[in-house]
Amino acid sequence: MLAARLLAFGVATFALLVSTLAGASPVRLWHAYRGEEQRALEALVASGAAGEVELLAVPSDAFAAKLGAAIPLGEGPDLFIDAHERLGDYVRQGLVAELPFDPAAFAPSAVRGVTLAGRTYGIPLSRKCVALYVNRDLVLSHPEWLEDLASSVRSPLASGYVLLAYENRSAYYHAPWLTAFGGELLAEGDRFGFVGERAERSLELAKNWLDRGWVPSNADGALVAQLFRSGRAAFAISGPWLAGDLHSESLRYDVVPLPKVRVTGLVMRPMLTIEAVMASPRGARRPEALKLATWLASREAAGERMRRAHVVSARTDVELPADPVLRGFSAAADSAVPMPTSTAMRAVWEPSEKAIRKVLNGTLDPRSALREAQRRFDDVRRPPPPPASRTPLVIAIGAALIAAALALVRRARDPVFRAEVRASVPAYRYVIHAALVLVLLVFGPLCAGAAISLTAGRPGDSVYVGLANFWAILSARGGPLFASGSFYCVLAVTVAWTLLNVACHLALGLTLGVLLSRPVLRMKAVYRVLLILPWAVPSYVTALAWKGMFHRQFGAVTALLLRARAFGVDVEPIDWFARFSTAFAANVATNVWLGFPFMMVVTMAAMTSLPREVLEAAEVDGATRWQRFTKIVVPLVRPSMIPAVALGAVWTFNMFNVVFLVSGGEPDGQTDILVSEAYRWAFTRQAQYGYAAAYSVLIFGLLFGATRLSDWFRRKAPL
Amino acid sequence: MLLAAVAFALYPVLWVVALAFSSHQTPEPRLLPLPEGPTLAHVREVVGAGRHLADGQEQWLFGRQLLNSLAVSTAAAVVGILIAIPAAYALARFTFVGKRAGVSALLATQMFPAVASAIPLYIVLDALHLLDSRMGLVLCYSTTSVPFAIFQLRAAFEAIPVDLEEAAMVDGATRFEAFIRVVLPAARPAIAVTALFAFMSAYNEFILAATLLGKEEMFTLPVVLQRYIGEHDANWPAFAAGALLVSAPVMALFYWAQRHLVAGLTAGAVKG
Amino acid sequence: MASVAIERLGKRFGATTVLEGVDLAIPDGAFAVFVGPSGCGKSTLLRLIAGLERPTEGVIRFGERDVTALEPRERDIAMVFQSYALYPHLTVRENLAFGLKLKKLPPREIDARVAEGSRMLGLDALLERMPKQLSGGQRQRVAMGRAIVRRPGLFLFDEPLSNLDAALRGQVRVEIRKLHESLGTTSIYVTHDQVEAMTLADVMFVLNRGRVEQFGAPLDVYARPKTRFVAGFLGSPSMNFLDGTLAFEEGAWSVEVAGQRILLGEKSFGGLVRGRAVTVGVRPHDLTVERVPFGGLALTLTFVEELGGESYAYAFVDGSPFVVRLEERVSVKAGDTLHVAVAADRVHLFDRETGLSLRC
Ligand SMILES: Nc1ncnc2c1ncn2[C@@H]1O[C@H](COP(=O)(O)OP(=O)(O)OP(=O)(O)O)[C@@H](O)[C@H]1O
Ligand SMILES: [Mg+2]
Repeated sequence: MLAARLLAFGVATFALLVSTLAGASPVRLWHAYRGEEQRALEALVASGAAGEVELLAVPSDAFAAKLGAAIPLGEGPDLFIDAHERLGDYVRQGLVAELPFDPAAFAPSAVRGVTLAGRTYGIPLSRKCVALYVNRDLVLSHPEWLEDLASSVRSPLASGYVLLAYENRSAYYHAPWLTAFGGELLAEGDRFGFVGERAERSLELAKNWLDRGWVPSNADGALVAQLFRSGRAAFAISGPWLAGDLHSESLRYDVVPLPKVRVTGLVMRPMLTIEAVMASPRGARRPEALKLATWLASREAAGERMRRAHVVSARTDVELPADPVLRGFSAAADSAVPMPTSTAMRAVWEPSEKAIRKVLNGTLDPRSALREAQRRFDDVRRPPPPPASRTPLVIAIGAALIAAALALVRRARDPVFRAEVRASVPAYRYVIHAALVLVLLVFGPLCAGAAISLTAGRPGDSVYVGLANFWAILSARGGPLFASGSFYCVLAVTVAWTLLNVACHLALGLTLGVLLSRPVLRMKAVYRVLLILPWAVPSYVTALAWKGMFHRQFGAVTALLLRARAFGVDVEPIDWFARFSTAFAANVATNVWLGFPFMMVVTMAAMTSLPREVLEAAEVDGATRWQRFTKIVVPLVRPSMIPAVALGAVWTFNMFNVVFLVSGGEPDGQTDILVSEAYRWAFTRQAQYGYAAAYSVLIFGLLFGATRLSDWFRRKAPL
Repeated sequence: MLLAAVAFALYPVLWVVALAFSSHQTPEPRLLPLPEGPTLAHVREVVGAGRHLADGQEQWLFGRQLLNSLAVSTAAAVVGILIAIPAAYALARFTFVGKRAGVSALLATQMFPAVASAIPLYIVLDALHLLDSRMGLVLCYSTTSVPFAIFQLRAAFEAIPVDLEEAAMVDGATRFEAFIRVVLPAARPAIAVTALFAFMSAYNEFILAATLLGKEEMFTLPVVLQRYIGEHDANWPAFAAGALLVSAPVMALFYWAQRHLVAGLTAGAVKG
Repeated sequence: MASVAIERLGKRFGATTVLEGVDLAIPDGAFAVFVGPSGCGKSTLLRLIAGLERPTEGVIRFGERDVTALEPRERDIAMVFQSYALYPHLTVRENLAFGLKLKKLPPREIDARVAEGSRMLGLDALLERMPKQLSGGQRQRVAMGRAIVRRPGLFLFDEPLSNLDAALRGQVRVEIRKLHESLGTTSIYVTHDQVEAMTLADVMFVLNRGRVEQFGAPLDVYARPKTRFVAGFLGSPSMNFLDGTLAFEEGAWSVEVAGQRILLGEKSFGGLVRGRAVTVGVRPHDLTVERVPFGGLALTLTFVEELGGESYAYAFVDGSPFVVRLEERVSVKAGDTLHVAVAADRVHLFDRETGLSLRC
C-alpha cells in the first residue's frame, strides 16, 4: 500500500505528461468491484449496449496509486469507477476531467458529492452508507430513538450477546453519533470539526454505551459481522457489505435508517460515499467513452445494477425492487451526509481515531482527548516551511563536484593509481552490467527519493525548502524532545524493537539450529521443512493471521488464556492493543515468528563448518550439553553469524509490515517504529512526502552510521 | 522443545488453513484451528475465478495468472542471478579500484527504506517503455534482488578454492571458461538457494505488480489475492484459500531445496 | 619438450617483495626441484612459470619462446596442486578429460588418452567416482593423471605429496621419478622436504628470501654448500655451527672455538686470514669419536638418543647446540665427556658476516 501510494505521488510529481490519443481502441474502464457488483458490471458491459469495452478489476488498495501512475503517462483508463471522496486528490493531480451531466434525475446529495468548485467530476452511480441492522429474532419493534434500543429487545440479553455491534473505535462509524449532536468531522474552511461541546457529548454517549456493555469493545468489521451473523447482536451498524455476508444464513433481519438521539432530537446521519464513473482527461475527449459513462449512469443500467448487485442507485427515478434490505439502505442514504472531498479530510482520521480510542479506553476525558486531536490536526496541517533559497544547495553541490573533480584529477596523475585502474579492467568487465543496472534502477531512484526530502508541500505544488524538514524532525516539531510520537521517542522504540527481535531471533534460531544439527535426530527433514514454513508463506498473510490471534474476544491467544483459566490460573482476556507493553509484545511475537527460520538456517549452515570432533572432544572432557553449547558452539559459530545478525538487524529496523499490520501503531502511535512513522507522514497526514522522505534519509543515516561504527569497532569487515 | 517450536511455527499457518476451508465468512473464536463445516467452496471460488467476455463467454483466469506468477518470478530470479553472478565473482576474486565503495553502496541499498525509491523507479520504467508489461516487472524484481544475491554469491565464491580455477586455467581454459565450467558448477547449491530467495520475493510481491500491470490476464497471483480484500468488506476465507494456493509452489520448492538450503547457505547467508 | 630459462625475475605484491633477481636455467628433460623454507617464494616462482601470476620484472622463456606475457593455457604446461584441485562436480574420468575437451580433441583421442593415463596410474577402477568418494592418495593420483593425459611440454608440481602420510609419500615419490624417466618431460617440483628434493632432482635450486641461493646436482649442493643457509637447510640432523676465529700456528690453520681448537690442516685456500671471524660448520655425520683427545672438541653430553642402528648425542659448545652422530653403539650417557674430531676437508667455513663459504 505504502509504495503504491508513493508511486502515485511520484508519477504526479515527476512524470512527463504524455498524452497519446488511441484511435479505435476499446474504451478502457477500471473498477475495484468484487463479487456481485463486479458481475453486474461485467454483465452490463457484455450486453454490448455501449460498444467495445475493456474492463480491468484493480485491487482497491492499489487503485489510486495505479491511476496516479498511469493517467499522466497516457496509459491509464478512459473511465474509472471510484468513490467521490477521492475526487479532491484526483482533481489536484489532474487525473480526472470535468464530466457534465443532467443532475435532474439524481439524488441531490449525490450531485453535491461529485461537485467541486461548481463543476461536476463524474456521474454518480450508487450511494453507500451504513444503516441499522435489526435482528428480528431478538427485537420486537424498530425503535425510532437510539435510547430505545435497549428496551425494544424481546428479553434481557444473555451473556455473550450484545445490544449493538458497531466499530466504535473508528471515526467513520462514530460520525453518525457526532452528527446526532450537530457536529461534523471537518468544519467549514478545512478546520478540524471534531472538537467542542457537541463532539464531547457524542463521545460521552459512545463511552456510556460501551461502559454499559451494550456494545462490544474493540470491535472490527469481522467481529461485527460475526456477532450479527451468529445472532448474538440485536442490532448492528454496518454497510451493505454485511448483507452480502448474511446471504447464506437463515437469519431474519431488517435494515432501517439509523435512529434519532433523544437528547438532541437529531437523526444519526452516516457518511455517504458516492460511487461515480469518472473520466480521465483522455477519456473526456473520446465520445465513445462519454457515451459509455452516460449509459452506465442511465436509468436502465441503474435498474439492472440494483437488481443484480443490490446497491442503492444514485438516481431517484429508478423503481426500487421489493428487496427490504435495499429499501432500508436507500432510506438511509437519503439522510446521509456526503463525505467531504477536501484533501484536509485525510488529516482528520488519525487524530480523531486516536482521541476516540483514548476516551473509550478511559485514558483521557473527552475534552482533553479532542483538544489533543485538534492540536495534532493543526500540527499536520501546519503550512509548509517557506521556500528556501537554492543558493546554498547549488554552492554545496558545486563545491562537492569541484572537490570530486580535483581529487579525480590528482589521482589520475598518480602513476600508481593509473596502474591500479589498468589492472582493474578485467574485473570491471564482470561488474559493469550489474553496476549499470543497479545505478539505473536502484541507486538512481534511491537518490531521487532522497532528494524529495529537501522539498515540502503536496505533490504537484512542492517547493524546495532546504533542510527545514530535517530541522523539524530533529527538533521534535518544536515540542518536547521526548514527547510521545517525537522522533527521539520513536527512535527509542525502534531501537528497543530491533534489539529485542534480534535477541529473540538469535536465541530461538541458535537453539533450533543446534538441535537440528544433531546427527542422531530422526525425521530431521520433516522438522526442517515444518520449521522453515513461516518463511515460505507470504508475510502479509501471516501478519494478518497473527493480528487475528491476538484479538481480545475471539483470538486464539485469548482462547488459550481462557483454557488456562479452566486449570485454575486466573487470567482475564486482555485487550492486547490497548497498552504499549502488550501491543509491543504482540508485534515482537509476530516478528519473531516470521524471522526465526532465517537465523535457524544460518545457524545450521554455520554448524556444518564446525568439526564434529571438537564437540566430541568437549564431551569426552566432561562438558555438559549446556556447557558445550555456550562454551564451544556459540563462540565457534559466532564469526560466521555476525554478518547475518547485522543484516537481520537492518531488516528488523525497517520491518514495516509487521508493525503496520499487527498493532498498526496502537496504542496512540506508541508502537510505531521509524518506518511506519514515515509512512504515516506520507499517507495519513496530508501527504507530506518531503517530510516522510526526510525520515527515510534519517533512517538510512542512522543505519549506515551504526554499521560503520560497528565495523570500525570490530575492524574486521572484509569489504 | 522441537515439538513446541513446530507448534509455534505451524499454529498461525493452520489458522489460515482452517479459515480457507471453513464454510463461514468470519472466523469463530476457538483454540484449535480446525475448519468448521469443512468446505472446498473457497478454494473452488479462487481457482475458478474468471470473467465474462463481451461475447458472453467465460474466460478462465486463474490458470493464466498462476502461469504469469511463475513465469515472471522465474524470469526475475534467472535475470537477477545472471546479473549478480559475475559481479559477485569479481568481488570475490579480483581486487579493483572502487571495490570497497561498491560494496558499501550495495550494503547501503539494504538500509534505505525501499519505499523511497519506488517513485523514481516508476519513471525510469516509463522512460524504458516497460510500464504495463511483464518485462518491466521482471526487471524491477530482478534488480531489487540483486544486492542480496551478490552478497550471498560472493561468500559462496570465496568459499571455493582458487586452486580449482587455476587448475582449469593451466588445463587450457581462459579465466572466463574456468569461471563458467568450474566455479559455477561448484557453486551450484548456493546459486540454487539464492535463486530460490529471489524467486520467493518476486513471487510474493504485490504492490509493484498491481501498479504496473494493466490487464487482468497479465496479473500475478498476489494481485488477484489482494482483490479479495475490498475497502469495507473482505472475503477472508477466499483470501486465505488464495494465500494457501499461492504459497503451495513456494513450499514445494522449499521442500525440494531444503537439503541444499543449508549447504547453499553454508557460505552464503552467513556473510552479509 | 622445452627447456626453461628465467632472467632477472622479480615479483612484488604491493610493497612486499617476494622474488628478486631470480636467474635460472633448466635443461630440456630435466627434473628440477625448488626447495627452501616456508614462505621463501617457491610457490610464487612456480606460479610465475605457470602464468598464474604476472612478474613485476624479468623474462621467462620456454625454449626459444618468450612466454612472460602468455596466459597459462598458452604455455603448454600441466600442474599438480598441493590441494589437488580436483573439480568436485566432475567424475574422475571427466576430471582427466577436462583439459583435453578444452583443447577440442576428437572424443576417440580423449578416450584413448584417458585410458592410457588411468592405466599408468592404476585409476581404472575409479573412473566413474566423484572426487569426494576418493581417498587422499587416490585423489593425488587423479591430479597427476590429469596432468599426464595432457602430454604437456612442462610439468609443474607444487608440494604434491605434502598431504599424504609418510609411507605413501615415499612410494609416490618413487613413482614420480619413474614416470619422469618414462615420459622424459621437463618437470619443476616445489617442496620444502629435502628428502624429496635430494632423491628426485636432476638439478636442485635452493631458494631463500626470494632468491636462488644455490643450484646444481643435489649431491654437489649437499657436499659443497655455498652459503651457511644452504648448509644448514640441507641435511638431517642439520649442520652444527660454531663461531670462532681463524688462527695459524705451527704451520697449520685452525679455528679457535671457545678455547678449543678445530684443525684445518696445512693446505691453505683463499679467504684464510689470521684472526678472521668465521662460522664453522660440521655435519653430525662427519664427526668421529676420539679415544684419545687430540685436536678435537671435548663435549659434555646433555642428552643421548638411541635409535637402534645409530645414536645422537647432544651437547652445548660455547652456548650453541651441537649434535654428534655415533655410528656403532658407543655406550655413553648424559654427563659423560666425549672427544670428537672431524676430517679437515669436512669442515665448512663461512664468513660470519656474509655467511658465504670460504672454500669457493
Ligand atoms: N597474493 C599475495 N599477496 C601478498 N603476498 C603474497 C601473496 N602470495 C604470496 N605472498 C607472500 O609471498 C611470500 C612467498 O609466498 P609463497 O607462497 O611463494 O611461499 P612458499 O615458498 O611457497 O611457502 P610454503 O612452503 O609455505 O608454501 C610469502 O611471504 C607470502 O606471504
Ligand atoms: Mg607454497
